[in-house]
Formats: sequence, C-alpha cells, structure tokens
Amino acid sequence: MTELNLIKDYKLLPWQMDQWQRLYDAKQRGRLPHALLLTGGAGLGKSHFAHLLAASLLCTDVQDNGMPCGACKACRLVQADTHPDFTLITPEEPGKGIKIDVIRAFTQRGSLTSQSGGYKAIIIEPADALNTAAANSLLKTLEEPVDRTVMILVTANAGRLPATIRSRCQQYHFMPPDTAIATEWLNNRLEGAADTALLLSLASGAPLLSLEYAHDGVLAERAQMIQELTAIFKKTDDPIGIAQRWSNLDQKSVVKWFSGWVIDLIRVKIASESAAIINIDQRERLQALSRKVNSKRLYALMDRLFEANRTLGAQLNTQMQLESLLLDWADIGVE
Amino acid sequence: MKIVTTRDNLLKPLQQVGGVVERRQTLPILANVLINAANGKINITATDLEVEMKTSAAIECDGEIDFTLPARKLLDICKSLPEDANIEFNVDNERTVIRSGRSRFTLGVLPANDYPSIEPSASSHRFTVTQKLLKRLIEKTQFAMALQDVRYYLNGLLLEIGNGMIRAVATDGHRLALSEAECAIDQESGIQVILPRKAVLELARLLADTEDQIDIDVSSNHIRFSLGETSFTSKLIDGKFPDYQRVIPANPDKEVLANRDILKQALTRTSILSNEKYRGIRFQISSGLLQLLAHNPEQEEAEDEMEIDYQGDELVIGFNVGYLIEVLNVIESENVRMSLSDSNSSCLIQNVASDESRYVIMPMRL
Repeated sequence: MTELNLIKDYKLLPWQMDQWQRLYDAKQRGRLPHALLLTGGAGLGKSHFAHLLAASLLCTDVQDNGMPCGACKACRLVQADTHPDFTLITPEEPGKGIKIDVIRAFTQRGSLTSQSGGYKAIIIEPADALNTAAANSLLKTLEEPVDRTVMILVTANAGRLPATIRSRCQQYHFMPPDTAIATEWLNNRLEGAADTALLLSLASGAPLLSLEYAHDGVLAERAQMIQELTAIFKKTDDPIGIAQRWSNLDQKSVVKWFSGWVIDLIRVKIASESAAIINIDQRERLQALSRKVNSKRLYALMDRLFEANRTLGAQLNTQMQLESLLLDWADIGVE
Repeated sequence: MKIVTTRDNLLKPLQQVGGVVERRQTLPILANVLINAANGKINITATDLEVEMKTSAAIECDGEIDFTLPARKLLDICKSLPEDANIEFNVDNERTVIRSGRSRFTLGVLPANDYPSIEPSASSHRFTVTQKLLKRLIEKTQFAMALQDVRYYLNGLLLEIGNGMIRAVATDGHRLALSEAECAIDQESGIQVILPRKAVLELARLLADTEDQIDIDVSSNHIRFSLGETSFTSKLIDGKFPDYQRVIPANPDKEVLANRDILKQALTRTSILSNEKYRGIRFQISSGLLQLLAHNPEQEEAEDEMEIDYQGDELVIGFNVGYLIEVLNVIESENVRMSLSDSNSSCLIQNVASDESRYVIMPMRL
C-alpha cells in the first residue's frame, strides 16, 4: 500500500488496538478463526495488520501483548520473506487479477504439515483481485483448511468478493480512526510540514492514504484539476484538450477527485455553509459555483461518475469517456 | 575464509541435491544451496520448502562458515571443469570467488540466516530398513497415487509401520495399490504417515537396489531418511488416509488365473481402439476363455481372446485398461490371479505366488 516499511518495525497502528486485542484473546482461548477477512477503506493499515498477525502466529517467542518479538529465527525468516510456513498471494502485476494456477499451487502445498510445527499463515491481498476461477478453487480450502492454518484475506472492496468467499470468513471491519488520533499520528510522521486536516479530509480519514497524498505531489495534481474544471465551466478552456491530458493520469485518482468535486458541489448547494465537504480548502469557490449550477445536471453527472468508478480497469476508451464526462460538466450551468 | 577441494569431490553431492532445486522458484533464495563448512567437511543443503536434501563432501578449510550459493550455476561450473581439477573457494559476505587452474568465477551470496532449512525436530519414531526393501515398496505402489486431487490426502503414499510390518498404500479413488514387507521393527502400535507425491518420486530416485541400511525418523511434521552421508527430509501430508482395508474385496467367489505377459500384450493391442478418454475394455469371462472387446466413438472395434484358468459362471465386466496395464507392469510372477465377484464389484489382482502386493481396480460401467 504505502512505500513506508511499516511491517518491519513491529508496531501496531494506534487505531487497530481493539481488533488486535480481540484476535489475541481468541488465540489465547484457542478459538482463532481459520479464515479472516479484513475489510475497510484503503489506507487504514489493513495490510500492515495482516502481516503483523501472520508474524505473530509464526513467531516462536511471542511477547505478552501478542506482538512478534522480531528477533527469533522465525521472525528473521519472515523479514527475509523466506519463512516456509508463510505464503503471500498477490497479483503478479499490480492491478491485475490473481490467477487460478497460483491458488492451485498454494492449495497443494497448503495440505502439507508446517515446517516449524506451529501455525501456517497465508495472506491474500487484495482478495478482490481473485478472478472467478481462482476464487472458486479456493473455496474448498477456505472452508476446511488443515489444522493450525490461518488464512487472512485483505480487501478494500468487500462487495467485489463472491458471497461464497465472504461467508466462509470471519469479517473484521476497520473504521477510520478519530480525527484527533489520526492527526496526531500524521503530524508525527510529517513533522507539521503539511495541512493534515486537508489531507485527512481528502483521504476520508484514512491516515496511511493521507500520508501517501502528502508525499506524492497528489495535492498539486488535485489543485490543477480543480483549476481546469473551473476553466471549463467558464468556457475559457477546451474540454477535449483537458480530457486528453487527464487520460494520461492515473484514472483512479482522476475519477476520485472529479466525483469528490461534484459531490461537494451538491452538498454546498443543498446545505450551503454548514455542508461537510471533502475539499475543505475550496469552500468559497464551491459556494460561488453552486449558485450557477443546475442540480438535476449535477446529479446526472454524479451518477455517471459512479458508473465510471465501477468500470475502472475495464476495456473502455479512457479519453472518450473523459471527453463525454467533461462535456457534461461544461454544460452544468444550463437550465 | 578459504575452502579447498577437488571437482570430483564436489560434483556428486551437488548433483544429488540439485534435483531438489526447482527451476522456477517462488523465493529467490530457494535457487541457492546452503553450504556449511567446518572440520574438513562441507554440508550442502537444498530445499523447495516441501523436501530437503542434505549431503556432505570432504574439503579443507580453516574455520567454520555458513553461506549460500546459486545451485545451478555452481553445478554447471563444477561440471564444466576438467576432471581432477582443484577448486578453491574464497568466501566473504557479498561475493564468493571460485578459482580452479586458470579459471575464475565470482558468484553472488545470499545470507545463510535467511535460508529456510528444516530444524531437526525430536523424532517420535525411529527405525531401520534396507534400501532394497523400501525401493521395492515404492516401485510397487507409487503409480496409483492421485495427482492434484482435491482430496489432498490422496496425493501421496501412505506408509504404515507396526507389528513387524512395513506397508505402503496408494490410491486415487479408482484403484488402489498395497504392498507390504516384513521387517524387524520393535514398534508396538502402528504409525501412519502420508508422504507427498514429490517426496516419493525423489526418494525412489535416491534409493539403490542394495542391502544397505536406511534410517527413517518420523516426527509429527517431517519424515527423514538417512543413508550414509545423505539425508532426505520431507514434510508430511496433514490429513487422514481413508480406511483402505474396507476397499479390498473380502471374499470374491470367482478366480481367474492368467499368464501375465499374454494378458498384457492382449490388453495393449485391444487398447488401441478403446475410447481415448475413458479407455474402457470389456472382459467376457467364460470357462477357460477370456475375450477382450473395445470400441471407440468412431465405431471401430478390437477383439482379442486368450486362454485362462477359470471354471464357473460367465461374467462380463469393464475396466480402464490403463489401470490394468500399470498393475501388470509391476507384478513379477509368470501368472496373475484376478479375483472377482460380479460386474459391479471391484477386482483384486495379485501375484499368484505371494500376496505381499495387492491391487484393487474398480470396474467401469460400459
């Protein structure tokens, strides 16, 4: 998820204590579920949690709070990614699906005894990348794995998983932490160098995602997109040219910023000053704009943006899709 | 740190462990062998996380060191050096330099600490058999193991040890092969372990047809075979093998004796025109005569007949010819005995002279 190497410092994120405690208690009572599904928005540290949990299952010298020690042979092998009882299943290339061969190879090996005599841990991440055939071939193992096996599925889009997978796992849902906790954590990492309130608001309260935004020049990109949207609205720039520029950007964030902007406009139009908005630094501009736009057209555009979000990664011509969306935006003020 | 040895000393151990190293590894370090040098000896270990092979070679060295080297490259280097060549290793943390005559190779090293070798765990059972005996058991049964079945406990070979017997059983749900032998094992209660398919094939390659002893250690997670300098460790399949005794027909009432070679040849001929997918062959058994019939979807037909030793009612039964031929391949006697009861019950095939190996084949509905 993030470039930060959180896994290796063996620290639990401050907002994950509850889930950790619940799982630790379950383990102490010998009632650890064999299949876990970690859900919740992107950037909440689910992956970090999964890796810590796996490490603590494999560690031979677990500390009192259930954390891995980071020093025994098992922990060393986990850090070197060579632990024989740990399997990480991810797509071969980011954004691609997890194929059936990978799952088949894993189920073959999964039936063997563990090397150390303890737990075997498997992380599948992101679980929604499993293609249909792969998901189906996993069902049998997911339902009845051999003893002392824990399979951890991580996903930010639980809805994209087949119901047959979801129903075989115990779900642990992660919520965005309190703003105070998130702000403090973020401030420690960024040393006050950025507008944490804005970052958190843009990332829907997910601290790790905020951190990513702070590092990768994402804010500048968003600012430019808002400028361009305003220019299209004022008819001072050409939607076709801008669609061409946007088609070279990361489509996920394009759709995200664009729909965030439209949603904010709707909110401001309805609730005016009291509206809770995402782009908190743009309130004045949004208010000025909201007086000139047509609600019906705004809602129609929002629906089309949700549709675009759903078909991300499908075989659509990106530029044509963006042109059509931006042309709709250009006419947003027409009664 | 310097290690000195000869090519011939090193080549055989490397070839032995090299078979375990997979061509496509999931983890980069599995392409390497772990080398531990101490006291005039190096131990070489290779693993694919399922099986581990460990062997040793004589060397000269001035201390103790653990490191890992790329297995295939090291083997290729040793192979291509002239016979009787001396080899010198200079090991440091990042690189290892290999010198021999006027050749020089620099290989990358991965840290030995990251190598997932199997810790010797306390074995709960320990016994000794001859290599020949174990090799025979494997050869007689391994063909019946399932291949990538969802019933994962069938993808291997059951070893059952107890009451002065060692028994190997393999089944894929359609046929079963069982072979047993007496051996002096003072083991009161029987133990059962399932060896994964890969370990069985690797072990068969390793064993020789000799009276040499092989030590077997069984722990809850692993089984280890030690032959002289070499030891071979495998994980076990974590499951329960089905109750195979129930599968073996208890009291079949019809008994057919046939010459093994003639039957095999007749089956091979008839199988040419059997359905390529299902490979079904019809057996028509009557007093003294066996007729074989096969036909394929193109309506082509094959017929063959042979004399057999049989007295009794007529019986028509279908079999997968592939299963039969595989059984006839491993039976050694001149004649085989087929025990049957009716066309829906399974058939027991045995060597006429001894019943140490038993083969059960389910019939096909034709």
